Amino acid sequence: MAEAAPVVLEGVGKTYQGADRPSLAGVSLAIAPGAFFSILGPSGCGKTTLLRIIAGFEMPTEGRVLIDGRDVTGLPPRARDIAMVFQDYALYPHMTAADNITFGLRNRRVPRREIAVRLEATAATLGITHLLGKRPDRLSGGERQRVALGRAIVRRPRVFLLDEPLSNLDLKLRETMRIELGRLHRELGVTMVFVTHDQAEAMTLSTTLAVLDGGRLQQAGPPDTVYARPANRFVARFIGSPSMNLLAMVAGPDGLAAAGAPAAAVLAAPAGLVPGPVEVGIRPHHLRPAGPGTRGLAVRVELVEHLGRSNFLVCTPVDAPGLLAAGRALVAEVAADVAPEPGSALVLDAAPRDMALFDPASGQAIAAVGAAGEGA
Amino acid sequence: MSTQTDRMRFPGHAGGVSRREVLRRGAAFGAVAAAGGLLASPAVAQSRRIVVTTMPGPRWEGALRASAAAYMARTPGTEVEILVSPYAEHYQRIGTSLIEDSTAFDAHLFDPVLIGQSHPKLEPLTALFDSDPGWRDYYMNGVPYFYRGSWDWDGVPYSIVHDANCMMTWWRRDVFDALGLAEPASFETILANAEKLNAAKANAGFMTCAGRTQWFLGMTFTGMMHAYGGRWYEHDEMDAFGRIDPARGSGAVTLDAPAVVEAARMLKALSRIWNPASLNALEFENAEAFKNDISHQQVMWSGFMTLQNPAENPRFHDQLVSRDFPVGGASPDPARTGMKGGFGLAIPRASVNKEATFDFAKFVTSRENAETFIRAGGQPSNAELLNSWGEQPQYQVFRSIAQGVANGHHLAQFAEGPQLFQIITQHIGDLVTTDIAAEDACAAMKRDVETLFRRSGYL
Amino acid sequence: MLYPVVALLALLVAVPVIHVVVASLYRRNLFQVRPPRWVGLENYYYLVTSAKFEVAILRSMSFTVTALAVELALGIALAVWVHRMRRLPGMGLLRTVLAMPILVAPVVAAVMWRFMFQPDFGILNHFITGLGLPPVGWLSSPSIALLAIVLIDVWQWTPLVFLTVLAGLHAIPPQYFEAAELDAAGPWKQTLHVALPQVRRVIVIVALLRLIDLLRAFEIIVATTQGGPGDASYTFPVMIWETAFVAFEIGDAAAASVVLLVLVSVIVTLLVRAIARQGVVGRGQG
Ligand SMILES: Nc1ncnc2c1ncn2[C@@H]1O[C@H](COP(=O)(O)OP(=O)(O)OP(=O)(O)O)[C@@H](O)[C@H]1O
Ligand SMILES: [Mg+2]
Repeated sequence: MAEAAPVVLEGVGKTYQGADRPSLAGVSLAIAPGAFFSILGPSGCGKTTLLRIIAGFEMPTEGRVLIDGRDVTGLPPRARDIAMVFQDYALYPHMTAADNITFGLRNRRVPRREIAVRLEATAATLGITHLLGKRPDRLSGGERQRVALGRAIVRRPRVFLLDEPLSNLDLKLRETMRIELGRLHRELGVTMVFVTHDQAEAMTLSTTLAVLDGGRLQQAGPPDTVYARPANRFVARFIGSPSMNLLAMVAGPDGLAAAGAPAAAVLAAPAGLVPGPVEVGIRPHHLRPAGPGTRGLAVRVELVEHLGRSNFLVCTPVDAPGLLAAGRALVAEVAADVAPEPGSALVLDAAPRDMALFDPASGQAIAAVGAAGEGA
Repeated sequence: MSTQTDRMRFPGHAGGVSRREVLRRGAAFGAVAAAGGLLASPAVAQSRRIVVTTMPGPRWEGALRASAAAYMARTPGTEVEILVSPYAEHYQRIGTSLIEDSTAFDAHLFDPVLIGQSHPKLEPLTALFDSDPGWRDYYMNGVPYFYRGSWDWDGVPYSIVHDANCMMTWWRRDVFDALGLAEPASFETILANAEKLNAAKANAGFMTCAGRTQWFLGMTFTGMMHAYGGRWYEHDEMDAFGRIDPARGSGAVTLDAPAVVEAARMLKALSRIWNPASLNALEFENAEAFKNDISHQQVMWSGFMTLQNPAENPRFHDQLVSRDFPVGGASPDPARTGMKGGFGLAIPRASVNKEATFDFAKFVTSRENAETFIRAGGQPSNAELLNSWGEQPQYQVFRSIAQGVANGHHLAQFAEGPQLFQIITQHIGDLVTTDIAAEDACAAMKRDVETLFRRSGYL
Repeated sequence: MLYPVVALLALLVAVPVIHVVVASLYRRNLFQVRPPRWVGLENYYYLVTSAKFEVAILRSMSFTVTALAVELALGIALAVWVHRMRRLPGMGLLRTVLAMPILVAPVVAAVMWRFMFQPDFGILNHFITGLGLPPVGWLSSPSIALLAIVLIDVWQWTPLVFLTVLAGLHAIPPQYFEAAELDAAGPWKQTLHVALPQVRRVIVIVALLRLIDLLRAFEIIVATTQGGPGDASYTFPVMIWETAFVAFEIGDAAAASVVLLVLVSVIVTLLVRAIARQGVVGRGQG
């Protein structure tokens, strides 16, 4: 296998011709060799654009792209030693699976014998040997996906680009292919850049996760860091399901009190927190029902969602109108046996170490507390 | 008044009212309206409208429109409408309206080819001719028998023949004089001249309308064939006017006779030296070739007369000479004659305006109207007019027409005549475009015509 | 509810055809006053035994095959080229200009070309003789006339092939070309392996349309050579036109029309079957 190559983006920006605002702006990234690098973000945030800039199908309007230390910004895709798997596969309809897979090798004048060997190995890796003689229109969605992967793998590229490769598959197949992708990544050891809408995919597969919004990089780092220490309010809300609860609070000497309600502190504050307004992020599973009489967030249970393994409690705060942004509810994930009646009162508590803290004005994580993620 | 207005507004709903009546009412209504809404006077009520069909072009539409205007100015109370349609539609209109005994038309520009099939639906004109002995004598003496006879059937005239046309040879006097060439009085002379003209300037020697277009090739050849003394078939005689008497039949097809083969050989010889454009030329393109100093000797229809007009042909109009020989009728042997075309005005039996129409037709052919008719582009058929006008250099060709129409053949005048020309066109086309021998082309032509005649019951 | 509609449609299609078939069984000249005569299949007999029948079939074949081949090759090539250059400015305008000949009535196009073809003063020979070459008898040379007519037809109808194929090419998702680009396929290979296979169906359909049209084409020929010189451009439809509108032999023309109808149907049916067997018209990807 060819050695994995690092990919580096330096201040990459892209404004499409005729567009009034950039689709990408100032994106700087270092993708380590052999990384499984996922790009997440809402629709239209520039994921595909970013991938196509790495591939060379789009020219950045500013910044540089380096693959393996070499500036490839001006190079055509074929000269970048990359492979790409397209969302709808783009298999050549009139060619058999084998011809689809080997088309690039033949064009690159790889000796015939070698093509045969590589085809065999690739087919074996993907378990599609029995499909090689078929044309795409005789293949199922998953089989096509494998052939498309085969077409990319067989070339032994140094960077592997995948734009939502699993989005056309049904749920079951998706899970299988997700595992398959992970295995492939481990076996091939190449750098993979993976665009997805699916957080579960991104979280499970990635070594590094990047979150994009509005063409700007919000955070990049290991998935658990991004999950636990979102770099800003956007990432906090975007990553995780249900979303992280964001509470407008005021830090005081004896803890955190709800903003706008100068009542007593209800939650313990992380150490070293500067007194004043602060936005506190707490994942639903970090909210625990507190014992009766203890300090905590007084809420009323509006709805209980039974998920089997756990329950989601959808709650509204009591006597703390400024705590949540308008229209939002507080969600707590609790054990399956905790199922209060809707309408009943409850007190929720969270440990300071499970809190993400944001500057209410800028929305950025407050770095004083723990590690707020890297590379942002 | 009011009912007339209503019907005018809804001509399509005026059940049973013919197009003619609608038009007439329209005219009456127009006249009444012009008179300021006064009661219709008897004169207006009797105002009549006659409808004459024609093909486009100065020679037909132009001459008839100018004549109609002059006639209406002279004869108040009669309106002449000239209805123009292109070649194929004109013939279709004649065919269908005669079959249906339509009263919508009072005269058709008539080709003698149609007389055989149509005469039962046409007005026999003998009585009308006799109603005006002065005009009748002028007409009968002026228009040669072998010409106007084409429009007769069993001695009864079915048209007033107002237009004459025949094929003739044209050449440039100045070029001929410069090269010392002989007047082209025979095909042999034409050939010899063409070679010398070609030597002096490529493609200048000879040109004709020989293309498949509207069977020109067939007509060119037929003219030559007759000039050499050939016949289509045994009973193809001068006074048969190209017709076949069904009782008598055609007699043997003679398209392989020596005279016919001789004509074919001559055409083949000419085709080797003629301007290649001949094989697909239209008349106007041949005219351009004369005007632009490209060709100097042509066999063409007399419709080329416009080339002697300084306005049409500013450079060479006074150098262009025309003679009816060798394809015209001035041959010393009346049987060895060329080809004629031409048109008359025929009145459908169903017309309700026969006298008025006849009066208009007389006017068209009259001395009084000659100047209007000719200046508008017409080619009269009356030898007296042709000869007198032919003294003007611009109408020199008229004298040639006068000679040309005195004798000679007309087109085939039986229903299958066009097919006869097609067959001739096809085989003479083979002759001039392939290596086939004249004898073989003529033999094949004969076979196909025999098949045609057998199918039609003539053989 | 459906059957009456289908029956009505069938009737609408069938009535004119039946009319022609009936007419073909009579001998009738438009200018013949005596009534048409029932002759059974005699008109067909005379048609197929005539020398011109064979000529007409041969000419139709060479005209159709030549024009079809050139129109397809040129139309496809142009479409591929314009598609490849689609990002360049001015391509939209170019496409519009290339499409214009379709809008010209065939007869007008033919007359226009006739003038340009005129051997002595036409513009084409003006250039050719200007280059020191001998003049060409475009429409008057038996060996060239049919090709000249093909040229007119090519001028007029290549744009149809071009536009149809171009539309097909524009419909190919760009990823296919990107995939091929990553597979290091050059322009030629992209055309051969990506573009053309994806527009195969479009090409087959436009080829069939052109084929049917060419087998029935006569306006251009009638307006230029009427089948000449000699019989150099005497195609089957020209023969029918001549029989019907020059000779006015309605029965003969009807018989020839029926024969043409049958020939066209047979050719098209066979082709459609052959193509269907190849799977080109059948199901595709997805
Ligand atoms: N070719 C283009 N021309 C102009 N604008 C474009 C083009 N391609 C993308 N854009 C714009 O750039 C922005 C980013 O598009 P991009 O396709 O990269 O988003 P994405 O993150 O991949 O979205 P999705 O998740 O829906 O695929 C969008 O606003 C989009 O409208
Ligand atoms: Mg995308």
